[in-house]
Amino acid sequence: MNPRYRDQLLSAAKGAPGPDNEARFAGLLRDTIDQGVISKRQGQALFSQYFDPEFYVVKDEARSSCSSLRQKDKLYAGMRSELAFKREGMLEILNDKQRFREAQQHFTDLQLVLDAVEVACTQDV
Amino acid sequence: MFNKRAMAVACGWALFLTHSLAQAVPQSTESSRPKINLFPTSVVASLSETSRAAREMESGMLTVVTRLDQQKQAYESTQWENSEDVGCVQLRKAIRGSYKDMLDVMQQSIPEMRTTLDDTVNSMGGSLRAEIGRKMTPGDVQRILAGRSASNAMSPRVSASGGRQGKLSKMFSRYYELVKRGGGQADALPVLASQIYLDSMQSLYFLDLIEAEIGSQSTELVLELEWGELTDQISATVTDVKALLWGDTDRSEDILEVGLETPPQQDTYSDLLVR
Repeated sequence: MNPRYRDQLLSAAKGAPGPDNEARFAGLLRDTIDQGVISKRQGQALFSQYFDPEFYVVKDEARSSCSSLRQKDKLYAGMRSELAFKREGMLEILNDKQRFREAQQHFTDLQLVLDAVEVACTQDV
Repeated sequence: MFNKRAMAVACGWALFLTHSLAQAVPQSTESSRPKINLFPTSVVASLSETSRAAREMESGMLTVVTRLDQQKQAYESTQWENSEDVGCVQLRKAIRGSYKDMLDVMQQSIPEMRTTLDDTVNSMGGSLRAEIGRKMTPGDVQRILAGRSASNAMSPRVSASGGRQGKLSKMFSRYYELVKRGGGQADALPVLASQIYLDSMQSLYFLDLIEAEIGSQSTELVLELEWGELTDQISATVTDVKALLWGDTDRSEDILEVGLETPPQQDTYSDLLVR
């Protein structure tokens, strides 16, 4: 998605932080999807990256964990970037601290599990 | 050199104990999430063995640490520091002897602890590799973690037992009780299994360091047994060991809480969220 368009969408949703902004942002996204400006997949990615406590970049990884973790640095970098998006979406747009804490918990839990799985996979000889 | 090594042993032992060891949780199935079996019989058995080894080590340490503590208190109350009085010299010698006994108990505990830790690492690593590494994508893992709910139901409620039960064995007792209880919260399993695995591996690393340091210290203690002032590190080591085995801070609750705190998520944007 065009970064400028994404910024425009986010700016339109920002205003005063609050829970209503989620519905406003969703409405804008649905309109743009209906108008064919962006695909449904792009809309889902954008919405998930900003408002879903779970990580889109992790959901988007189709390979097994052992295979995925051969590029763990890349996956973790994506998670860190997405956490910054979530901070913007959940705190600056929604003012939903609880939801952001949930995202942070996902972040730390996932990293712990994936670290362990990576070690276990590399121990397999 | 002795002081540094004494501190190294204290620190190493502290890390070993606090990072030790296996925890286990009940298995659960929920149709909406990927099935997972991270705690087969082999893992539970190694947990039980580690728990038993920890209890034995604690009981073995209790006698010698108590004696050492009493001797240290007597020495401090007499203010015999740097004194060449016969009684003072004998007490210093006795303290060093007790300290060496403590190191000996540690050293004797190490082989069994290493065996049980090895078993835990191997079985837990095998489960993680087979159940998550090969069968699941990272997204599957996330879906399991996201299903956490009813976290309070999972929290252990182990009644405090009488007497002076060690922290380490208490921790294992709690985990073992969870295993026996059955119950279920599948979403926490990967986090706990990962913690067991990584902590056990780290504990094995410290175990090797501790064993090497104890061997070195024991040699020096034999040489210094007849003379020399008591070091602060001996006192510090005893204090640390006491705190680790019977101290107030209990980390087992912390470990069990990992991944269990988050309340259920209310999502109303199903068309815009990827599942």
